[in-house]
Amino acid sequence: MREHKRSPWLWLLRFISLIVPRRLRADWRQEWEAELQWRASQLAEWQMLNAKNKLSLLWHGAGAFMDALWLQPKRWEDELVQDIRFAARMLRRAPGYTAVAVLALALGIGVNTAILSVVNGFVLRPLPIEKPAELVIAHWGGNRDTQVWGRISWPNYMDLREQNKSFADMCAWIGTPAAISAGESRGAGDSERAEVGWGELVSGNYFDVMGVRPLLGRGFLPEEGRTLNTHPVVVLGYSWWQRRFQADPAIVGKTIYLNGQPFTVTGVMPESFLGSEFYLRKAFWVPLMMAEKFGRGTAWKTDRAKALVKLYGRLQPGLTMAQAETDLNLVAGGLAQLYPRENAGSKIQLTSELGGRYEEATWVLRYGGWLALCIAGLVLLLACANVANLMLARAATRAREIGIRLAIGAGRGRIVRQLLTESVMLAAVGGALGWALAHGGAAVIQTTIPPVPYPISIDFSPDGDVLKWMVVMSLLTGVIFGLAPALLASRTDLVAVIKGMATGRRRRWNPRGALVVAQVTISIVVLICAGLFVRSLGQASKTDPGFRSENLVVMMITPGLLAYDGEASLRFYRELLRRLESRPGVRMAALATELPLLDSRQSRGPIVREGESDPRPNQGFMSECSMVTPGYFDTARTRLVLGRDFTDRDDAAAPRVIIVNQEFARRFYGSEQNTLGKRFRFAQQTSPGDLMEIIGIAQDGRYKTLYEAPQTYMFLPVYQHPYTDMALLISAQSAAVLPSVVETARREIAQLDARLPVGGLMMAEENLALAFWGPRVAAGMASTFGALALILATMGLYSVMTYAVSQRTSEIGLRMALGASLRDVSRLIISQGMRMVLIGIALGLAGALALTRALSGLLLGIGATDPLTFIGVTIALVAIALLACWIPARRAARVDPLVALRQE
Amino acid sequence: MRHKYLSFTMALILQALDNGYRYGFEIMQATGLASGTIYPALRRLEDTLLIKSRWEKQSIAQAEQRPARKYYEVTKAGREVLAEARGRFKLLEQVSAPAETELTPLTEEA
Repeated sequence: MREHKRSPWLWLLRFISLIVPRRLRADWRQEWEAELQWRASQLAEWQMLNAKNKLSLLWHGAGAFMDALWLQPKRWEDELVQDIRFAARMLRRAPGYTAVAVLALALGIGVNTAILSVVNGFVLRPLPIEKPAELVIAHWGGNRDTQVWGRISWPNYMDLREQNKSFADMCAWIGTPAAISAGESRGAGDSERAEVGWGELVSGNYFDVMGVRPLLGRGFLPEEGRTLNTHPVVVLGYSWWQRRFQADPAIVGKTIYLNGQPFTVTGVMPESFLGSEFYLRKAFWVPLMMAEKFGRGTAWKTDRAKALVKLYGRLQPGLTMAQAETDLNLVAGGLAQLYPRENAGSKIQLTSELGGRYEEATWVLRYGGWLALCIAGLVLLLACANVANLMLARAATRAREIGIRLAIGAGRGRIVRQLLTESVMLAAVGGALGWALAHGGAAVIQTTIPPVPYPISIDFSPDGDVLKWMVVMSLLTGVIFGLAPALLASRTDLVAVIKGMATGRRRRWNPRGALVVAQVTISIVVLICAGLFVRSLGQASKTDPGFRSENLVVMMITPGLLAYDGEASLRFYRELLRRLESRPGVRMAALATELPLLDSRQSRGPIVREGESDPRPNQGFMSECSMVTPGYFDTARTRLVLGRDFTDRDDAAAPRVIIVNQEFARRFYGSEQNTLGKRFRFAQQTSPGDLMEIIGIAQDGRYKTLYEAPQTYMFLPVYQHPYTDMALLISAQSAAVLPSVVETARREIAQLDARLPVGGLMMAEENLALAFWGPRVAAGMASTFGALALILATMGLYSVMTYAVSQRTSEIGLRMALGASLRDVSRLIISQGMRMVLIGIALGLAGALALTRALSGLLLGIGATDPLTFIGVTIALVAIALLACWIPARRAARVDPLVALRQE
Repeated sequence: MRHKYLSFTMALILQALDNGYRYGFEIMQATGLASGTIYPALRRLEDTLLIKSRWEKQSIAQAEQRPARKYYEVTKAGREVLAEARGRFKLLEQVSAPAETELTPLTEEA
């Protein structure tokens, strides 16, 4: 029997058994060996153990390989469970270390998740409709006005819809405000007062194309979307129904009043449906055929040149956007040939709804969002470096345990795997905590959205997608910060460890020191960004917006919704101003069509100076403008540098006048003195009466955002250029009377016309809130990141210094015994620490110089390499680092030399 | 998995076990399947509790100076599943010769 021990099949089994999970290996080997041996001995008994049979035994032995393969999954899960339980035990045994690591990770992951959910809310979260990814927007671009890019005329829409071969269906929509009330406003009672809501005029098939079903009632029937003014029906939005109609379950069939006209409610939309735009919560949907009741007239139905509606559509299954775009452009080309006057040169571009959204979000939001994500990523790296440092420190204390494990046969891979399990567990717990933090962070950011006169509704709270990203990020984090320490720790010198000596494995560079340098580098970069943003906010506060918001009350008045025409509106406004100015508390009152820093949109042009001829088509300079009443400049406290304000005598009968800003004067006439008294006109207005004389020059200001370059601006007298919807500005005598002034204004308006809704109320600083939102949020977030970075880096430095001191206790004792003073010892320790810090600062400054260029577009009034910030941050960091080194140094110096020496 | 239907191979092995072949090698010879097929199948059957395994008595093994072998038995659940499988695979009914004697060398050579 003994000779069988050397049999080839036994060797084979031995070889194969290497891949069998350790736990099962002994049994497995016994089973196989027993079977083969038994067979071999049987054959031997019968004297049949010849070469052929031996070969067949070997062949059977090879089958063991399949068996061993089959057992592999058991090994993985077996060892994984073992690893997890061991890791949990180890982490529990060192609660301080675990707590610090989890906290650092939670901060890093939480901050990243919060930013991610904000970006998600803006850019990535799809519309809450059926299959949102399929929704496609068709932009119709003409050769004329770029401002109507994206809008199409009704006849063109009808033709596109009928003639295309690539869309399952298309719908049209356009946003509109309206005065909504439950009953016909007769008196001035508050409950009857109409409120301005934002809704949409839509084609009859809108709800079907969008793929959303009403909560109550129904959408629109086909006949309601065909003929003009025959079916006054409306579908309400959920939040409006809740708020203004008290969630009346019997609302379907009732009559409500839009712009003073009766409409029948046919349905209510569910809470999740906002409308066609992802960031605005619409209050109502009305068939486009009723557009006349909303001030649009009826010409749009047949006028091919009047671009009115926006197009959403769903492609037919299996078609790509490129194919559909080609198809639509073919149709557009055909239309251009049939109707050359209106459609010449028009073409169509398709984008998905999500893609289009990305384009529309202002540059600041998009860029800022991604930038914030980058900085948050840096903070996460910092947290990882911190935890990696902690792990290295821990590994040093566990060297003995690791050494023993290696000695009794654990492979290095096994050790690495186990340490990685620990770090992934830390990351998982940190991630869970970070998830909670992210909710809080997103909520905080949500509250910073300033009050604007639009029903903005963006949800920043983290959702399922963000959760998936967070889980992936946590796992990656665990691997990133765990891998290097694990690899380093498993290379322990066995002999030294078991003998109980310190792990004096001399490396050419100290990994913990390198980590500290990395931490300092990253924190400098983050702190400099923070400093830049904070200073930018300071500069923003000092920027002159061109008006003063103290004691200013602003309200939007929209008589256009009640079908006032230009003349009627002007009469209304004249009377309103006359009444207001005599009221107590009111210093001055005026009206304007555009409010500064609230995304001014009106522009006129091209500008043609007196005596010059019209520029060629698509050339020439347009300028932003606003129509104002006399007294505007005094009310808004915009300084008139030269000349005079408009007066009541500058009306339709008088010669045309205009006021421009300083930038306009510089641009068109060289200097302000030159400009006064000059005349110009707009292109294509060639009669002599169209020349406008410049009677005043206003100070420059910011008109759209705080970040804009100097812009030209014009102020036209509204009495010469009638306009219906305007904003009322009242400059109150003092802050105390602001509320009463608001009440007075409301009363006067109601007395003139009780049906007229008033909206968009903003008082004092609220006027600037939107403009300052960007700089404020940036400064707030950057400061948070900066603070986190500082805390993490200081923690890291402190722990490394403490460890370094403990390592050198015996050396310190020796030095002190040999006569070194306290100061010498402190200096020794501090210099060791500050060496790392200074290297980190140098690297960080270099990095910051290179990287902050990316911020320059978002900064106001300071450059990306603002020396004050750089120097200030450096000094602050050096001071804090000195403190972090000094405390351990002091402790080192207080060591009793005898105790220290005895530790040898 | 207990409710999953047995494949023909697994049913064959189960039937062989039911017939009284207990050791891996015997099942190999009785069914003609390769060792690489049988042992994974045995493990799977054991995982789903259709069969159970035991080591033979140490005294016997020591007497013959070889390691103790592992043998398998069908459990009650296994018998039920086997009955269901026999309903599906008519061929199984032909494999029902109980093992009475040990396999002789003659079968090996053939």
